[in-house]
Amino acid sequence: MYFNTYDYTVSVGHIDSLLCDESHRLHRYKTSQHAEEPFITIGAIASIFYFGWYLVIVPVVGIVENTLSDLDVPTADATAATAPATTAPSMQQ
Amino acid sequence: MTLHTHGSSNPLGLSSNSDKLPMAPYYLFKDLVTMWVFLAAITGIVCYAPNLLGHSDNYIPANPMSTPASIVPEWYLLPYYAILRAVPNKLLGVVAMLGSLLILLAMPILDTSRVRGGQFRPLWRVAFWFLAVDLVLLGWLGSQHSLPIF
Repeated sequence: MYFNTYDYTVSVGHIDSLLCDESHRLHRYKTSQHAEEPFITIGAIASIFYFGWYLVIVPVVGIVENTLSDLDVPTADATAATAPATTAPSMQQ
Repeated sequence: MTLHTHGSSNPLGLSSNSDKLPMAPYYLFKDLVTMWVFLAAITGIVCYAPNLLGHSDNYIPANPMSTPASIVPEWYLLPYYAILRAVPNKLLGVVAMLGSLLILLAMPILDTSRVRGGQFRPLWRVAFWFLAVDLVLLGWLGSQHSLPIF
């Protein structure tokens, strides 16, 4: 693999040889690599999840956590400590 | 409008109207420390390693006869570039890319929680890391077949 020789620390003296040969081979290789199949599917799923996170997960998590804090079921041994909390009015925004 | 109605938030999600410090001199001098550290770091990079944050492709002279093989966005644009490429239709891809940022404007409506901030919301903390991983994954996808380094 000649890519291993293509590193970031190219000195100015190397630029000409890089231009003439290396970069053209590199460009041909890169253009042959566009839009491979696994990446298209992963990209679509990841993009859908990105929007789904905002549109579905954020509201659902908020509602679930509101509901859980409203329920606030006291356990048997903690009833004495948390009993007043169940009757207290729920916190409003 | 939201800022003026509800005020700024903080990591605890609690009201911060009770105990406040003046900006000067406390925060000015606190920020000065960070400013000197930042200036020292950027002076070191500029004087001793100016190529550290550069890209070797920038040394290739522009050639009108040779179109670059692909776009190489900056790293912070890679997730949105990946979203742009994930949609086959070009117009819808642009809409999706813009929408991925504009959707942040809908967060006051979408966030149904009564509690502000994530400090006391365990489910939210889990959900946040799902988004963080998804963004890193999208950023990695955006860098595929574009960067000349493998």
